[in-house]
Amino acid sequence: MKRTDAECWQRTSPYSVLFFFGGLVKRLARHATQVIAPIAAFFIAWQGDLQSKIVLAAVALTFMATASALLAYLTFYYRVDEEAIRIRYGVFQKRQLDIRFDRVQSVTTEQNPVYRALGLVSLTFDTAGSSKDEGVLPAIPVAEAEVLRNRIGRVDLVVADTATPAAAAAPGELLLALGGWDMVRIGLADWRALVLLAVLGPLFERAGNGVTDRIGSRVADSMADVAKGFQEFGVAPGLVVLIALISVLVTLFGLLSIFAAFLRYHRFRLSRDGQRLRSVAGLLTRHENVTHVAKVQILSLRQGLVLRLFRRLRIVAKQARSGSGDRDSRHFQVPLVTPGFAGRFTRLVFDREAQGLDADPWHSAFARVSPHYLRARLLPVALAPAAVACLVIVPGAGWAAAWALLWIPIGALLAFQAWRRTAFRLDRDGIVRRSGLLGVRLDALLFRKVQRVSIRQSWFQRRRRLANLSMFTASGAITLPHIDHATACRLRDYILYRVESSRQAWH
Amino acid sequence: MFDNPEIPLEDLPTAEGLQWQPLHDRYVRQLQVMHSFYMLVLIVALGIFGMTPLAEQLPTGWIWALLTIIAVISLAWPGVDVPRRGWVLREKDIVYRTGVLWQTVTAVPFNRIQHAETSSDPLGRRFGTAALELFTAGGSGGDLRIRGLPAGTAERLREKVMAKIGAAIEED
Repeated sequence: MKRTDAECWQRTSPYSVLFFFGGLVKRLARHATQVIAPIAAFFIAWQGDLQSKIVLAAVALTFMATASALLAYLTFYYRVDEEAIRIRYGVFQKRQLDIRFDRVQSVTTEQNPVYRALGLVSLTFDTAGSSKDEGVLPAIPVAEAEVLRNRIGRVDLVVADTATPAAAAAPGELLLALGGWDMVRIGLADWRALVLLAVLGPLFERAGNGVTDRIGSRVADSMADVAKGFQEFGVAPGLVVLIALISVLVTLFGLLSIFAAFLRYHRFRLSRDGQRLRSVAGLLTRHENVTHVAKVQILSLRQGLVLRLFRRLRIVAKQARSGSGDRDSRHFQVPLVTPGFAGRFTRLVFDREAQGLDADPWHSAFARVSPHYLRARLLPVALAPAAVACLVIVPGAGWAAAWALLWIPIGALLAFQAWRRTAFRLDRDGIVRRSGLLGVRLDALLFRKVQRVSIRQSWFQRRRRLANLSMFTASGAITLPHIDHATACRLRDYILYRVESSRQAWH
Repeated sequence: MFDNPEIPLEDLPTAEGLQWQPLHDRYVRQLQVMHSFYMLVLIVALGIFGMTPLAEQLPTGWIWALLTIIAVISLAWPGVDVPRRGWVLREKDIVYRTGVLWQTVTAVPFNRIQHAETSSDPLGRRFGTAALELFTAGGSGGDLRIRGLPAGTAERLREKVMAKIGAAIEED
């Protein structure tokens, strides 16, 4: 890579072509439905057998993706100034992105096996602006990344070497280290295998009717065998076979999910250096995320049903969002903690503020929202789906469609459970909202970090003097539904007072 | 000596009982003209569709009846909606209310505003209205948009807001 002084524009390593290639493949997969139309048109128009069509399409797509990646590399430049990093990119539409160091919310480092072998990393800078304000520097040398991070004022970059355990230890105070059994817990709680299937499913569809027909016929044959088993050997053995089949599938999903957890969170280390938090994890691609405690806008503690059985929680510390979606992967995450650690982490983030709030979701101080929230949930959760199902099924099934009405009591139970979970507690400095259905979720924020406040009332809420209070931060909003309108107004006025009188920066 | 007295909630300024400033008095007419244009486009499109053989299979009577209802509502709705909108400029923030069935009151403190923009489309320029858009951190679009302001008022509000932002930064 060309090395010049900081005033000149530089290119990244030629190996960043891999990064651009991978980014293009991800974008194609994300917008798969739009890609299907031209591919389908090609398959229809081109005369030839299926195999040659697939080969030609694959060659053409690979060629186009490679050419695009090469062009992206050739038109990508960056420059580091005293106060900002500037990035120029774009093939046809030239763009320049200027990211001031003091606007950077967090720095994420990624190093896949290829980069690791070549001594390269990818740096991502996340700011509080729009989605266009997120800068990525692919394939830059580790030493240069370290200099850049020092200039931003973050902790020194230490590239974890999985072959040398001693070197893999992150600098600063080690707060948390996850082991093998923790990966199992994460995998069983996340069920990432379902995500894999969601990605593979469309691929199977695009493989053509022949493949899906062959798979479908085999599944049908298997089901026919099972049905035959029921007939020949009786219900009980048939049930055993069916249960065994389901168990195998569930076990397979679980194993895939655990494997995905190992890929993403292997040797997870959370450390602290003053007010900076750093997490390092990953089996093949090492992910490193650094953020400053002060930049956390909303602290979210989550416990699904499986995590509840394991007595663990997941922490998502949301920094100011760059407006390109609220996916958890974009925030600082700690995938598995004990309730005790969650409490200590909450203290770490809030420091001396919000002393009255902790990480206990079952604290008696939580105040439930109005029971009218239950009625508001009944319609979309219970009544509407049952009515729609009846209308759809009636033409074909006749009176049998009435079975769909059984969903109403089930939906009512779900709505009741959602209402029981929805509660909040507050103190002088902040507020915590509890929500969830089978699991539980706590979202906490400090009032002085609020960006704007709104109160919303439907016609029914006006009649009952209720309202929804929404507190918007730079990383999302927390809404208290169906609370007393007078309370909502007083809370809004108090939040405005805290925001407008606070001399502390919100980030 | 550092002092931190308790603040009684009753002494806090409230966003209730404010003197709401209305929008431009021609904004209702502007919206009606805009909705009429959209309805015209829809009617022409349906009329062209009605000439195709496919239209014979559809209940055109019901479609035209539905279209008539939509047209009446779209022309009458601005007269119901716009008078319920209002804004208030306070010392530390700006408050905006909107909505008929769902009423929303939003307050944006000046020390959280990143920047402000005004905009007007050709129809707005014809009727003398403009929109003021206030941006806070984290959003991927305008966080508070006040449409239908008199053009001069929108410009003055933008300047006032930017001056307030600057003063808030200096105080910090």
